[in-house]
Amino acid sequence: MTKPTPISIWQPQTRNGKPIFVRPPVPAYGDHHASRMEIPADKTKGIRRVCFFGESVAAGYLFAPHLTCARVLEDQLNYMADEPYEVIDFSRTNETLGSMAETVAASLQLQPDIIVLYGGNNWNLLETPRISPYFPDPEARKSFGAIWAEGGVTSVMEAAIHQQVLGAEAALQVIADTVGELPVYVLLPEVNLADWAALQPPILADTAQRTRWYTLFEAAATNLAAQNARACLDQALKLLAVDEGTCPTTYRLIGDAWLLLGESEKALRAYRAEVDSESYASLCFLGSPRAGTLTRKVLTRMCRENKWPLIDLPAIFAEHTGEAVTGRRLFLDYCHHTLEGIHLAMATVTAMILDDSPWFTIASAPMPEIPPEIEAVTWLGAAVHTAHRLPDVPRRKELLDHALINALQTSFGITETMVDLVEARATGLPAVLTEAQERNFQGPYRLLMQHGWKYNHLDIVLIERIAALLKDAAPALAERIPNILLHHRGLGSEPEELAHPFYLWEPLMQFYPEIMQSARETTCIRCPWPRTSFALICPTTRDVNLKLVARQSAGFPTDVRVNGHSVATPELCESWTRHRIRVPRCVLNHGINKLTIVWSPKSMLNTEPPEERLQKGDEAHLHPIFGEIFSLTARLD
Amino acid sequence: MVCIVGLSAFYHDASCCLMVDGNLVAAAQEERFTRVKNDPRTPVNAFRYCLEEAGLDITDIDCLAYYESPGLKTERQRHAAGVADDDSSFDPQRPVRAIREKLGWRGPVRTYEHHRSHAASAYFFSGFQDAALLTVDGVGEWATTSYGYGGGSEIDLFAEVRFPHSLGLLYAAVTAFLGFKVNSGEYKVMGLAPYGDPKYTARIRRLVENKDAGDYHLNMEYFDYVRGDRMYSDALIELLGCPPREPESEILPVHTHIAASMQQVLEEILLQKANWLAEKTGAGNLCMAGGVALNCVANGRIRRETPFRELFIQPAAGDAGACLGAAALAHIDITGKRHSETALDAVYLGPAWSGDRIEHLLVPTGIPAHDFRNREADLIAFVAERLVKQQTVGWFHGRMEFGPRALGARSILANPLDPNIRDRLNKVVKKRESFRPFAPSVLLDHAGEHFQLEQASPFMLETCRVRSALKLPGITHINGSARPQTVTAPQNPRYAALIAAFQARTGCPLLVNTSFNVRGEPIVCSPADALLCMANSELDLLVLEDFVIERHMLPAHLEALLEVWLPADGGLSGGKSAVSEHLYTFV
Repeated sequence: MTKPTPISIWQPQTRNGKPIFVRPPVPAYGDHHASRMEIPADKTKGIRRVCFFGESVAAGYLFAPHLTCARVLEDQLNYMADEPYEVIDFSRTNETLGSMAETVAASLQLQPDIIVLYGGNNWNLLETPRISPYFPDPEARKSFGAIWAEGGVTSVMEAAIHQQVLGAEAALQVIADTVGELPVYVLLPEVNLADWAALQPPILADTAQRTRWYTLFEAAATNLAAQNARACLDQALKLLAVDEGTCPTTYRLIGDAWLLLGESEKALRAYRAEVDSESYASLCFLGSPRAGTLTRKVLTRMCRENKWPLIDLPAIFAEHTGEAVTGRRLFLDYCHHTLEGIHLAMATVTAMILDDSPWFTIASAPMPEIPPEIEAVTWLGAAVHTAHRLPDVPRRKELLDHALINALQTSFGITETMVDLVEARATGLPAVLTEAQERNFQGPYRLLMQHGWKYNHLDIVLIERIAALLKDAAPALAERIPNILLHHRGLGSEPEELAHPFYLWEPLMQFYPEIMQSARETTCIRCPWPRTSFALICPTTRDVNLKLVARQSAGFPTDVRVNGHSVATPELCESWTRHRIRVPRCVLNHGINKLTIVWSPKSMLNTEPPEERLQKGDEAHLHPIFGEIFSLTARLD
Repeated sequence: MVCIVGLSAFYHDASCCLMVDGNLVAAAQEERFTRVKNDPRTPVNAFRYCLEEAGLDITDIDCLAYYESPGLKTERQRHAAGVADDDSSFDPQRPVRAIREKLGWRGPVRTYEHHRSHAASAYFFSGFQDAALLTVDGVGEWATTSYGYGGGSEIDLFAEVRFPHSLGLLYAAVTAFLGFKVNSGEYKVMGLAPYGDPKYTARIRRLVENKDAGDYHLNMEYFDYVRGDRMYSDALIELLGCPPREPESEILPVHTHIAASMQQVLEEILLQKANWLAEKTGAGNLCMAGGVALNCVANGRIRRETPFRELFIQPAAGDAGACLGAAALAHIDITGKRHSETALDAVYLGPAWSGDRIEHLLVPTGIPAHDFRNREADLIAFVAERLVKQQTVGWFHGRMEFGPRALGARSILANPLDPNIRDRLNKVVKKRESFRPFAPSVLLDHAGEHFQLEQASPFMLETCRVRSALKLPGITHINGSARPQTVTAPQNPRYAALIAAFQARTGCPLLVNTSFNVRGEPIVCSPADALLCMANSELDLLVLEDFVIERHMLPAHLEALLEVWLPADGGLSGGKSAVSEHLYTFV
């Protein structure tokens, strides 16, 4: 008999003479793995054993550990089948193909009857790190730069795709070779196409092309906001010609325009192209884990070759919702499921395994129940996640409100947790040191690590929506929010540095110039969009004095705005210059104010061509830089 | 106004200092802000801090002074790597390019040779009008040991030993052999040495041929740092006759003997070189810097056994402190004058937090701290009583120290009379190896009663014999030595008052003083760091300026929650995605 080996984090042990696998204690805030402590090595006679593998979607991200896909699948199987099933959950957040293949192989020690694989969303993020300009190894950068120099930006994307395909096929083949004749059910992943958008600056070396792109983008976005779909489409198609399909932003505009024109199939194609071009590891600013066409093709081919049953979630979701473009009904964010999404996805697996019930029959059965406090926490987590990962696109406010309102409607007691979250963020301390977090830890609405506690950012986008929604839902609590903010972050007579990642209005901006090197590794804030905003927390009783030290290309206008009101137009140049600006109290709000530097779309700073830098092994700025802010201090007059 | 920023970076211990009109306004190591030990990256946080401390911004700076010559260093790196002189793997432009890009600096960057920066960091901060100069480290550009003379505003480095021959690398190779981390574990070898007998001295001497005058040669047969990927070769393993110690494995007697032998050989060579330098220069003063100048045992012998009457060792003798030298050299280049004629008498050059700021910070934690604002005497009495009761105290007061030593601003303090204090501090508070000694802080006026110390030692850079009538197990090393810090009221009034209060209660005018951190972490910088460190150790008491926190006041679940809060590896991504460091990203 061979010596048992670990299965993922479950270590082999013996209890009462029987072999078991035991995981380390679950930390107070949770971890990446399922929370089941022990797995008996031997099957119970008569119970069919399913081993379930996958990424965060499979793990029931934001619901876990209270509700997971594996548990729902087990319940459905036992509800529908004549014989009992057990589903052992080996899904984990941040799962990679290599690690999943290893875990599948190790899991064979449990003699499973069935294997279920639910992954693919992570491939664009985690599978080709060395084909990224952000990978810290200079040699990786050099090879990336060489590919770019050889064939331009598109060749980089092609190289990433090629490597991704090779890697995925190899890992899946390892699984196929390992499991032999064991039945393997594979889910073809779907993502939130309707609501989740990428907003990426274009990667264009030529300054004239960049300027043209931004001019067209501004026009297209303006037309979209005005519901002028045809004009938006025309401009977006011109954008596509400029960026050669390397910028997902363009596809989103095209999809939105088609949707306005009632062409949902065309919109669907554009949104899929958006996901496909959002090749995080190779090019993007901060992509979301979302499976694209490539993933589906590879999975489909491997299923066909190995005769694995394939569950086509995009088709099933479309049929179930009656909509070509799937959205928030089935997704909490970019790819993680709502309760209905989990229920439906697992119903399709159940149907396929049992092979005698159509999925819609199972899907029409009652959905799993979870305590309202847990569901409310899930929705709040979805709001946190949306605020952190969704860029400043028109749907963001709507999506944030959707999640927060669901949280409030599910369990009104979550309001106190929302205020605790605001307080924890506002202190600027690690949340673990705050009384607000301690209170939350002891209450029924406990937020875990996946809900964003460990986040060193003011999170003003989230706080602003919480404050707005609580005005109606819980006015007394809503009144506390500006006071909490003013108490902890309110301006005083000493200057407060706003040009710090903590105060950036857009959380994603803190990772500029590139995701792999946060703003904390540069002294100045580099601005990749024509607008850069900061949170300014102050009362309305006094004027505010600003001191701005910044630079941009000379000869272009710069506008400093507070809550949309222009308060100064300093003349900047390529050298650092210092400017003093007075913000009159009449334009201020009590508490949250938005301070925005509006750069000229033509003011981009000259930077060394990225392919040249990458070939030297240096970090490169793939995206344009409109201006740089060394310091932006504020104090009460 | 002449405003100069000095920088060290890109090898280990990146740091930044700011000199305004010749006044050293601020200095700090990047690791304190990033919480990544020995962080080598561009010191963006330290740079920002230095400017904020002075109320300046980037438009006020006249020049940046960098502590190395990138061209010469690249030349040596290419030679060591065995690549062509134009090999692009080593880019001489990269350091200055990184400085410009990361710091946003567009003005002049002056570069100074590594050992010149070290020498300047000692001499120009010594207050001496003339002195012999000795800098010893692993390697900078080519030089590994430099000899010179400083007079007025001039430095003349007249002799040097060049790579690959290096006392620093010799010591580092043995450090690596003994299973400790190079560039940070050398002081562990020094601490281990007194536990052993120098039985391996003859063998260690085969590694290095000490020549006449300032020269010495390493026998490169035993080393592997030029071409290979580790410090020593198989020949060294054969020579020493035992396998290299695995990191974190048990320390055997043979390891202590090797450490003792290495230390003895180092001391022999350094003493001979210092004596030669004294003879060569005729100077009565000696200034020392470079990482090897942090070997306080050797320093103590140099003071006692060479003709030099006065010795000044740069408190931040390692690469971090070289930014001071670069700034001082730039000041002379710009103004034609030396920046200061007086000695650096304190290194409290980092950030401070006022009592009110700490109160503001404590409120949201809900910790019911004792508030001693405007009651300093009560605070001192309270803490002294707790020390008498053998409690361990995290002491956070005033501006953070610059350099590797905690000197009463970010210190863990304990009762030196407590017979169990060393084990308790090592095991449960600092979480480090049990052999590691602790140093005392002693009131200068009473130092002579307890130590064979002829002079003030404010920076804890020399060892001496303990000759106290008291039993001081907490601070007396196995060989009867100690590494005292002398404390005076003008330098640190509150700290001096605390030691005096402890003396009033016990008759003992000294305290155990160790750096405020746990193993693997940089010394704390902010109050939040101190709180996290307290929660992550078993400190009994935390003094945050005027506020005192007792262990039972910490939130009930803090220790459990920290399990997932504190990074397991201390930070740098090590070639993996850096995303997880900044986001809780789950995908």
